[in-house]
Amino acid sequence: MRVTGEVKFQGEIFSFTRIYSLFFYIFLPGILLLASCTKVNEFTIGENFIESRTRLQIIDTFRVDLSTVLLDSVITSGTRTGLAGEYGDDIFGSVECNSFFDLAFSTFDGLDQGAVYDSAAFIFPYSGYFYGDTTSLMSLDLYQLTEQIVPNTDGKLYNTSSFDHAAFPLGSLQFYPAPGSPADSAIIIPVNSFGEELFTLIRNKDERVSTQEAFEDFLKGFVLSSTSDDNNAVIGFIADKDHTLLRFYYHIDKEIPEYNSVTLTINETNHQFNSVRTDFSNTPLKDLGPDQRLLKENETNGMVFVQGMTELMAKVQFPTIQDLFMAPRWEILKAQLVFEPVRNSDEMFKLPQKLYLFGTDRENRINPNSLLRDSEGLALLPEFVYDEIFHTDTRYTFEITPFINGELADRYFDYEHGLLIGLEQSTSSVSANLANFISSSLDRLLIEDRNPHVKLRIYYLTY
Amino acid sequence: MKKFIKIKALIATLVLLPGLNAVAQTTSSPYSVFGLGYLEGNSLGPLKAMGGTGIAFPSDRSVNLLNPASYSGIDSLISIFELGLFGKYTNFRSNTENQSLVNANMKYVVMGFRITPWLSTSFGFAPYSSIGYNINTTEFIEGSNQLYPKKFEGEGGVNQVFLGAAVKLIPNLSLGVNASYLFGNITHTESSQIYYYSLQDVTYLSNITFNYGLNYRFSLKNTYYSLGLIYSSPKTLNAEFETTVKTSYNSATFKGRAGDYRIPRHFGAGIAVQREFFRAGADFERSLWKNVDFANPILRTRNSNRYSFGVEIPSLGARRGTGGMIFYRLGAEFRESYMVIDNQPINYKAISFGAGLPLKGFLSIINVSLELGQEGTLKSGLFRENFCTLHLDMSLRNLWFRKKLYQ
Repeated sequence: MRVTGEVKFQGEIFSFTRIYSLFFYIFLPGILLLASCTKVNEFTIGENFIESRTRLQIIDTFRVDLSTVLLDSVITSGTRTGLAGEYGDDIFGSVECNSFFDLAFSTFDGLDQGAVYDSAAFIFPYSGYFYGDTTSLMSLDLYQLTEQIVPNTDGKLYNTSSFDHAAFPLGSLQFYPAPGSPADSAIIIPVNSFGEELFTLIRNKDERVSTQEAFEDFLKGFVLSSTSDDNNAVIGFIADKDHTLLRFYYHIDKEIPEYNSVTLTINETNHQFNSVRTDFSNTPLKDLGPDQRLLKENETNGMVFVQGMTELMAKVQFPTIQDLFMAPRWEILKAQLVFEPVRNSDEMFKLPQKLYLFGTDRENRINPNSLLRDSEGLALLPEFVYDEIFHTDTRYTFEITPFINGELADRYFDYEHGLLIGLEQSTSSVSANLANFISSSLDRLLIEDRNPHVKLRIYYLTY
Repeated sequence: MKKFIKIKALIATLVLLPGLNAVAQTTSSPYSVFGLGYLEGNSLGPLKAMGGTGIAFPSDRSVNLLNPASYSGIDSLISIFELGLFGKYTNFRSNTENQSLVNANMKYVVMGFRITPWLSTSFGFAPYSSIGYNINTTEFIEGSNQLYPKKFEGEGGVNQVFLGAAVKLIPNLSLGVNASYLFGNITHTESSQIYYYSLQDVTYLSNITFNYGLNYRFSLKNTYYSLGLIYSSPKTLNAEFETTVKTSYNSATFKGRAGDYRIPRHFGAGIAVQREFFRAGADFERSLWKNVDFANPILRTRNSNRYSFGVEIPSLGARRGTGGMIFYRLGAEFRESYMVIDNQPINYKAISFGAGLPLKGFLSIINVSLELGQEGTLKSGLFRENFCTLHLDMSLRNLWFRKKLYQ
């Protein structure tokens, strides 16, 4: 195909093959390259005569029905947080927490047979968490249980679980709690006589404490409980084997006595749990109980109640969202659930920043799958805006577009498919990534449905 | 050898056709938002340097697509292969804004040759209309005082693949016809990044149109005079739309027959004089858009007119009359487009100049021209485009039918 012909034409030498070859191998690719460098403008010019075929609209006047729901029970075992004390007010009623645990088997290997017992105390390091008023005097009692802590068949223990304890406490403490103090501060309850008995048994390798089985049967368990109705706070402590301890102090008689200590640690299993007893009398929630698990907002002064371990959740339902179907062609681009706490309800109780949504049904059942998640599969959390100065713009905003779109997918919206707003909550079958949903707090939230109302705000496109 | 070259030229044409189709966007102007978009017109190559004038010119050194009767002017020994490119700088100015952009693309590929002494033919690919715009706006979310950014984009256009023929009825009179298959798609998209949605509307268009031409030529005292007439009948394009709405959660598609995309009745006349290597011409064209309704409240249509004239002067001196002769060209054009936006007529005016440069030793010419012009108005909040377009036309002529003396 190379050029061979040279032709005399009008006195000039030319080769037309060459020009075609040139065109073929240089010009063609050049053109395609040139075409690709055309840039399209990013202008605002022209906007006044373009006709839009889409309209983006907001509607936030959908009716939202609110109610307070009392769930069956919540898992409180294995949280590594102990709660003890009692607090009551006329909004959420009173709540009493008792913390159950047992001790891990130990034979004090290497303990000198000549060790002489001095004293013993249970040590409960503060977790920093508290609920209520920590400025008043608290009193707590430590009892030994008269039955072993046995989890339910699902391996869990609930806020409603309880085990009998002895009539008289092993030790008691009256104190001003200091939950915010340095990390190593703790509630220390002396148990001197009990301690001496146990120390001696273990040192002497008594058969009652020489095997794990015998040890557990002999000691059973313990409960740190609120002594009296005068308590004005619930205090949290770290309930794991590095923190909650029974420590024995002893010495070995020598010329200069040698002082030392040994410890028994908490049995870090699901045997650790908190029982929660609530009393809603004298509150708007007084009718709530095992026989009536739902109160509409108009039965509770236009507010709804959310609290962690007391099983209170707010339920929202959307009765008028069906109205959307009146429009012929639409797509929901964004759906938000917006609500505000009762103004100044956070004077004593800090507003929770983490709230969770669960899809639910008529029976208010929830399970791990009903937790609303974000696009990354993590629990969906609200955007929380806190108006520190005026307290008028404090609000929670949840993006619930996938939920709403999912519910509308079959072009029918089931009113019974509502949402439950809760604090950290456990469910009956906790999966691994839901471990954090086991409740360990009494944080509370009072949601207002007046000025402004709870809103379902929908951004939708019609075309 | 000759066959081989022919095959290569055909391959080049065929390879370029789909390429052209894919990159056919040759316009970038918000004025192209309406209907079929910016109408490209049929003046090619050297005519671009003469205000697009050429209804009465024959196709001698270059294929003249304005008038199919012109193909009779193709030299009996020569085939013409032409390829056009352009680069355009546009400045958009409104009363409040001033923006610029550059775009460049390939435009057309045409071939023309004579089959018998009385029959000549031409075929090729050229844009018929094109759409290209990209407009960023903000709009209120209805029911709130929130603004959100919204983007309008348009692209695509209609292309024509044509086959034309001209016959010499009598020595002075030629009649020509072009059959064009018009096809293409027009895409309008509006979208919002913030709320993740888009509405994309694609309209697929096609139909066959015919346009006709007459050319009458006579000589008087070594000067040739010619008169050209062109005509094409109105046509409605077959149109089907496909609208897709996409959100993060959903996607919906609708299809159907689209509304009217009409090509109006079109006619034109041109005159030309030629003496030796000098020539000049003037054109008038009219399209009856007035009855075409765009159902757009802001756009009113009127009949569009185009007026132009141009001259071509050969280089003086030793090269005159030889293969190395350079042609200088000059022209001006005024178009009253069919668009009246907000009661403001959108007009187009341009001057152009250029040259036909022979490649030394070859029967080929590169036609370069520069077009300086203006379109639109600043009134009624509209905008004006000041533009400068470089047209590059490569005309490869070949002696397909001449026997070589030596091999």
